[in-house]
Amino acid sequence: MNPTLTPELQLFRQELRDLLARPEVAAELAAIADVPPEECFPETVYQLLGAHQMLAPAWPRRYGGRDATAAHAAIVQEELSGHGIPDMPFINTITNAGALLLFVASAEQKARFLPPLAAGLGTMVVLYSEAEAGSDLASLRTRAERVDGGWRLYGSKWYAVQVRRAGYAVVAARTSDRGRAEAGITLFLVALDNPAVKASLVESLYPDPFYEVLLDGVHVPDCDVLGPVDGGWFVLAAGLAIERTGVDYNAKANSWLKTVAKQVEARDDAVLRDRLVSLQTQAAAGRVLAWRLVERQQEGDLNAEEAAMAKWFNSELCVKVAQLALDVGGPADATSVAMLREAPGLTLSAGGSEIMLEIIGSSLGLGGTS
Amino acid sequence: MSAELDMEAARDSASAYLAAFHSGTVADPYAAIEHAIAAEFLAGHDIDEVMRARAASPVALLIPGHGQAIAVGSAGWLLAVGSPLVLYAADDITRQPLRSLSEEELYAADAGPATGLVVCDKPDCTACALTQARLHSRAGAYLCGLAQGAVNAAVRRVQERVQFGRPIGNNQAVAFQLSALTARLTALHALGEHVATRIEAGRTEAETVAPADASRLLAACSELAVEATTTALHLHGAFGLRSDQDAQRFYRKACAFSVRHGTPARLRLAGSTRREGSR
Ligand SMILES: Cc1cc2nc3c(=O)[nH]c(=O)nc-3n(C[C@H](O)[C@H](O)[C@H](O)COP(=O)(O)OP(=O)(O)OC[C@H]3O[C@@H](n4cnc5c(N)ncnc54)[C@H](O)[C@@H]3O)c2cc1C
Repeated sequence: MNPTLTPELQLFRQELRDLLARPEVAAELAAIADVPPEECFPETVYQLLGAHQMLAPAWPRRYGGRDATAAHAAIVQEELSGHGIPDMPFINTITNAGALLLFVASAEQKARFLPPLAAGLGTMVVLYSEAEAGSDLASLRTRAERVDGGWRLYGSKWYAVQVRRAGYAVVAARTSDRGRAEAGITLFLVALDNPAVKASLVESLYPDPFYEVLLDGVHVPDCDVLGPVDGGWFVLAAGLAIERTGVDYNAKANSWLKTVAKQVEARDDAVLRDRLVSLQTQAAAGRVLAWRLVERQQEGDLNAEEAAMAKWFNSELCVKVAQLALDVGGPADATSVAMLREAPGLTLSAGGSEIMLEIIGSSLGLGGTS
Repeated sequence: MSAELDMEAARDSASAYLAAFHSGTVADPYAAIEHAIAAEFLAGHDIDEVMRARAASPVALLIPGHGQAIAVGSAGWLLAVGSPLVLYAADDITRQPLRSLSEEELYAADAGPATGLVVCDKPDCTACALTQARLHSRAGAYLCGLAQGAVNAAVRRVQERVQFGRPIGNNQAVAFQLSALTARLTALHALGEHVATRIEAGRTEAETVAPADASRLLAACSELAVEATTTALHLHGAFGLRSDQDAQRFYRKACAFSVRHGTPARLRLAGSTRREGSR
């Protein structure tokens, strides 16, 4: 029940698997097994993939990619998850921030920012959400004031992961109060080591620590404005749609299911088997759906409703897998504990479930109210 | 047992059920419930002075599950539930702390060569069956309480949290999730009180119906607790995941204790031997 891949894609997957079968990969995974998530950046693995232009294969060669397709990128995501390699830095850097840069950055910005990301040398995060602006992102209040040669940013962003390691962040800020809320938003590339940026850790249930990032007048030069001034909303919305092929959420569900399946198979319990097979079937459906979107992405017509379906379906699936893991492993099983800590974040990140349902509803002509 | 005594016992049982429910709504430690049940196990048997004195200090329950016997909360004594019912001094057995989702202390215990004191070795002991039923009914009450506490917190949150210019609770997509949980919770809570009362209602019934009913009840409460606390946490948004938020505390506890007495499917299997039509 797997999506059909072209021989070329199958070769690519095999090449990737061969790389990941190298002893240094296993050695690094063992070394970081007990390291807290924020610390556990598998740099050897990322740099190994980077050196083979396999971390961001869809990017142009001159930026460290292979001029390949979204399907290649999806394979990288699946293999990282499948091999238990922490994929949060990949998702943030390559899938989210990198894809956005590729989409909208100037040639100079691309040449400056993309190669180190594709090489696995640096990471980047996206700082959009704020305390008062979660689902309703357009209401964000971080403001950018025009100064000589650039802008100064004031505000606070919260609940982003992977901040400590990242060199730069894509920050959404308000540059104008005129017109609709969406109209006055601009994106900026902000250096996180600037002393006017203060990141503090927020303890949470989610295994990867959350950060609150205070922007206390950080100066951003004009050359680091990303995309059109006051035109950031369109860019950001397109970028969020790129996040929503559901491949990453589905890869997570599948890798969790693989772990749970091993535990279930060791037991003689018809009820657990029944639930396992049911979820495996759902995961197969979620995978085919996500892969259909990858194809659409390649053709440049990603469809928002289907993307919302894939994100909703696969993130909700992760919640169910975690619940099965609990029944299988019990309250003190490290596997189920890790899944149960992560799952609640998955139905919120990149757009909460209800927001996905609203998008689907709109496509049925049921939009407007929820 | 006289009818008056039955009535009194029933009232006590119902109030113990309500107390357990209440402690769940405020996410109090679950361990206290098992300590109380351990004391009831001991009180239900003719034990000598020495044991009675021991039972006066906290006794935790040692319950088998997922391949090991697990106890919740620290205590000087451990009562291994089952047949036989055996009391161990905590110092005599090997204990290994476990990492669970709950912030409460959980540990695996292995009696090894320790013999312990046999409190009861009758396989069909009525007192044991009754206490076991009380345990299940109160664990169910606690889980329902967690669900209720989580729903209460979510209701407050969605009334206050404004997105798109209005409280998110004004959206039916949000409100109806909490409405449905409230209706299911109310029904299950009512059943719980009913079962708790009937556990004490008479010996014959206690032996046949109550244990099975209590297991079924606990299965339903476990499932609802996990679902309700998951939904409540979700409706809090990322804010609810913060360690200082009750939403994640309810969720952690519900997950950790929903499988404490076996998975819902196992509990239902245990509850399927109930003799239908007995009342
Ligand atoms: C693991 C994780 C990683 C994240 N990473 C980043 C990141 O890298 N960068 C970043 O900027 N942000 C990040 N976020 C924040 C994320 O974007 C927000 O959590 C998300 O937008 C939802 O906002 P909120 O959490 O404030 O929930 P709220 O907007 O407060 O919503 C609360 C609940 O109400 C529902 N809801 C909201 N509005 C409606 C409505 N109109 N109708 C029906 N239901 C509604 C939501 O679905 C949700 O369940 C991350 C969050 C998580 C959990």
